[in-house]
Amino acid sequence: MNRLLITILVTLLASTGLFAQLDPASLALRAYTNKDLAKAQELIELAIKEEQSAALAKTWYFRGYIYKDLYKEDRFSSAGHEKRNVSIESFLKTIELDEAKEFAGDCAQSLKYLSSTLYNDAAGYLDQDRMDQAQDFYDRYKTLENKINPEMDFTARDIEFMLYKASKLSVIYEKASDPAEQDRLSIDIVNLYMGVIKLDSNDIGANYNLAIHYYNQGVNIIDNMDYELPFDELFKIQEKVMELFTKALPFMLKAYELDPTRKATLQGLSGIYFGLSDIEKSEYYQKELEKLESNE
Amino acid sequence: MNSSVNPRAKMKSLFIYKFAQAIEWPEAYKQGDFIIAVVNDDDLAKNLEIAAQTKSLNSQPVVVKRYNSAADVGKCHVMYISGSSASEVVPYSTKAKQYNCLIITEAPGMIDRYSAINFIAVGGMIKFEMNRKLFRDQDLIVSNSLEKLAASVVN
Repeated sequence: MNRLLITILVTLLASTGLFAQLDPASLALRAYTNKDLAKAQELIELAIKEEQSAALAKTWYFRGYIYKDLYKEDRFSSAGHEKRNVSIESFLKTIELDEAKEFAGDCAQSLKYLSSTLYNDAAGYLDQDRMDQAQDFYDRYKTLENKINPEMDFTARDIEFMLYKASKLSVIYEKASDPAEQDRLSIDIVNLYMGVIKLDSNDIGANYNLAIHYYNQGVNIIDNMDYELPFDELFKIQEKVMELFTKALPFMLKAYELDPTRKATLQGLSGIYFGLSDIEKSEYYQKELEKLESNE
Repeated sequence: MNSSVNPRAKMKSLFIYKFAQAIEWPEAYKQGDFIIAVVNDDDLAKNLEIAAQTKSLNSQPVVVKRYNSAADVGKCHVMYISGSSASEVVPYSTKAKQYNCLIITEAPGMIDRYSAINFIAVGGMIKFEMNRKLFRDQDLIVSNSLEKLAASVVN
């Protein structure tokens, strides 16, 4: 527990005489300062049920702190997440009731901290390939940030989140064996990269990775073609693959425009043009790549 | 980037299998191994070798042979020659013509004199053209359905 915070709270309570009155809020705070969080929780819940206490900003302020510490003790479970929600809700209620702006700065700081934990949880869920939960926590993070700072520009964060999510989905996509699952994942991957490009058309990572996704999709289709396929199917499948290579090209060219010395992009362009049977251009980019490598 | 797969090599290997299934060889070629010779294209040869592990052609086991010298070329059912100039192609096609061999190339102009089938690119796609005379010369009977799929047929 933060020593400075305890000092502030005890001073605050002493000045308001809450200890002397022994109302649930002051008792909750006493339990909190004694590090008895379970008791503090029980008492603060009684406090918010009392009309007079519930109308006071400080009651909600205490509740926010008590639940924030409860969350810190149990941050990885759904019960812990629920405690975080209560803490957030309490700090927001404090701001609503705090006409004198007595707690505003402190609440904003706590909410900022809690919002950062929501973002970290979203990233953590991405690490675990739990995409729905990751999206849910990212949305909660944004909702909270919007309440703290309605002017906040999410562009950089959105890009960071979408790129990371797309990269994780791409790994799942490469491992997936069910074509329906691959199709579903592919739609999500494309939407994420397109989402990034919509926010920043000069994002080299999104352009390059989207091109690679289309290219790999085409290559995987060819790689899985069976020798027993009817002859006319070869043409039909080839058409589908050409469509994917053609889709890949403008994004890889954009990545090249943004950084003509990126080796992966040169390799990508050579591969895409090769797939499109444009051997001259494929060899051009292959030579550019070799030039770069020989200069290293 | 998936660089473990050469998409054109895999696609051409699929075509070669399909060509082989659509052609009838003389009786003497219907027994023993079905030999596919590959010149100057290791990725294509590798694809054919992988397929040969599980697939047969016309009920014959498939054997893929890679050649770096025309002098080494022996009897084969199919010969694929990678190369864009006549100087690269001719030594192999001349040798292969000694056998009832389907000669396949992939360069402009080859279809007129050197190969029965030539891969071409049409709108980025791999397609093929055919030379009826070279089929006849090699004593190979080609199905009508294959001709219908060709981008063009010369006599």
